[in-house]
Amino acid sequence: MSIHNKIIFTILSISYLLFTGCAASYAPDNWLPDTQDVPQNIYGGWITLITEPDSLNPDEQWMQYSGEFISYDESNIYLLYDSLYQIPKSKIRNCTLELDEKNATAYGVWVFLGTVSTLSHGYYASITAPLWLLFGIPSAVGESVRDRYEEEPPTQEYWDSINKFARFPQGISDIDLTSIKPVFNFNETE
Amino acid sequence: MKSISYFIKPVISRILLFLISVSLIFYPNCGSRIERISESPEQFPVHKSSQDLPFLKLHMKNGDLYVLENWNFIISKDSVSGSGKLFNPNRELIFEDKFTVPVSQVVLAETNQINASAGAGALVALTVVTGIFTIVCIANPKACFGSCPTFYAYNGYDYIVQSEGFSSSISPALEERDVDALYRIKPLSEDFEVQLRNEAYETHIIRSANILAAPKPEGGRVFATPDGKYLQAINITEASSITAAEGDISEKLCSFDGAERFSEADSNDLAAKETIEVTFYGPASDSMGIVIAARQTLLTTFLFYQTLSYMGTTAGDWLANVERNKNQFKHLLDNPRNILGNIEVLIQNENDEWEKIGEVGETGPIATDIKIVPLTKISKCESDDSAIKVKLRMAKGLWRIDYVALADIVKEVKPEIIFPSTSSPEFANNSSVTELLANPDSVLVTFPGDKYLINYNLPADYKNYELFIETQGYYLEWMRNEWLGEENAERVYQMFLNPKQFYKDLAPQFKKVEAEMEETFWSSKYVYP
Repeated sequence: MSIHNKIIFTILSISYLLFTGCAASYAPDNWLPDTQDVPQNIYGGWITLITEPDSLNPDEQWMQYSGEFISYDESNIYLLYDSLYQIPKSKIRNCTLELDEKNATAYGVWVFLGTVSTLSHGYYASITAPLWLLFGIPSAVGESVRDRYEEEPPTQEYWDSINKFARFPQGISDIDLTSIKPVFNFNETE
Repeated sequence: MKSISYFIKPVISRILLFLISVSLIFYPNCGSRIERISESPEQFPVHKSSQDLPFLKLHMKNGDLYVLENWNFIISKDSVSGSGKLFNPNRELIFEDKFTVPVSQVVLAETNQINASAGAGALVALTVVTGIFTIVCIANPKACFGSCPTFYAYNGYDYIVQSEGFSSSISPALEERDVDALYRIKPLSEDFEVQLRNEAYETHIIRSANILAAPKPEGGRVFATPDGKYLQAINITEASSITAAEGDISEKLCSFDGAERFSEADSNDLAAKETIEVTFYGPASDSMGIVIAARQTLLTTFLFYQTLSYMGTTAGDWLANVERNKNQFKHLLDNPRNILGNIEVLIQNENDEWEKIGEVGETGPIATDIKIVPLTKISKCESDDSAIKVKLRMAKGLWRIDYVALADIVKEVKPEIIFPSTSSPEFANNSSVTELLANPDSVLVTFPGDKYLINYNLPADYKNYELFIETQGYYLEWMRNEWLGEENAERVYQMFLNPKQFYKDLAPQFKKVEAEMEETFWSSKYVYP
């Protein structure tokens, strides 16, 4: 392989490792708070549920629900998007909860540029470039997956552990859920 | 360009890719930056402030949310003050102002710790300490006096403790009604006074405190049954003999006088049982009952506080779970309770087998309660010497029995409910006690050291009535700093799911402190009588 091809191969390999290792966010742009703003954030985390169809109902399909994590009780998960959804726990096969806006992209670019910059290091690039990759790639991947609670299928311990990130961690028995307004009101945008 | 060729040599590349892959496997699991703690009011940060935690979020029962900064905890008023914002359940801003929020209205307090990003290294980290804040107990933390409200009444010589209200109600979801006999008190007039005291380090929430007055039969008394009935009884007779493992104990149990019989817990199993054999002489009938006056030892106090220790920093989460899943948790709480059990009453059936016909037992080590267990089927038992034999079976070291007697049951009666008429705070701030206790939707909240005098108007012929005190409410435990070092979630699960083994494992630990617990307990009351 020529040197030129090897450089391209290396760049593509780094990019592949970064992109396949990084986790994508389900949340809409600008919904999740920056990490440092989490302590005063007044909403729940962004939850994404994948439900499996009822085997007895041939018309039912796999569904994905995403929205603000409102609360949970013995049987259901409550999330808010264009309205309040009540999803039975028994039908949920996968759950992902995100808390904040990640800097994974910035980290990835940083790692990429940092690695490429070692081209100028001459002989020492044989040391610095691997160091950039060894610590930089896991850093970028780690940044994308940290504070992201995913379980397949979710257990009761999982629900108990993420409850504190709901809008109402205290429970909803005394709250009128019918008065909760949706996060996104599509009628207004039309 | 020469360095590039060194960099991408196959062997080096493979090693590098291998190392990156390994680090990708392990690294993502250890990079959490957001650590959120949601605590119940009893774990409020007492001496921390916004200098340690810039933001404090208070979740209210109706879904409102306070986000406070520049906050601090006001110990004397048991509230949190700070400036910030109040949001409704829709997270619309209601007010932006300075607030003082009573702790009793808060369901959960939330703090967040943002840790440094391990991956970035160079990122600026907000290092904030989240501690668990406590009130320190005087001596052995698990022997601290507590935790429920105590009621004192006059016995002709002095005010003595006659009732400890709702001892097992450690959270709003476990709120319950409790009835205790005022068996040894002697009202001096129709104007009857009860002292309500908070002698513990806990916060008490009292919904009602009424007197029940049941008409006594001629020459007799009225006793409550474990299932809430009130029975007139006459011919109350002490036992002819009472024997336990240590021998004859009849002298201690012949009268309700404070001289109690109790045993030490088993060294290997806190749930191990013992029996006491009681013999009465006289003809048996189906309208008889055995009267038992007893209270618990400090074993349950130790078990309760040890459980809180094992819960540690997650105690608030456990209690919040109780609030959300009341029925499920009440069912779980029954597991350890059932293994320890109450004082079981057994009689011999036609086949000479000992059969359980009832049980008594009220949670709490402070006030002795007296109850009657009807002896059903006893007339069917044949006996050559007209002896009526009863066995009491209970966990060793769990019960202090003061009195055992036999009585003839006359009939069931319904007591009259007498509500508080007037009250006065002796060491407290609340002057509207009777209004609060009369309204089922309001509560009287008492803090350590509070003392109220509550008056009741008894019937004109008050000497012909047996009095009971009926209370309803719950209390909130405060975590002690010394308990936090024993946090052990596995032990908590063991207690709920395998209580038999739990009691065996905990026996050696209890035996080390059993002897000194009494002295520590009574010397750590918040207020001396």
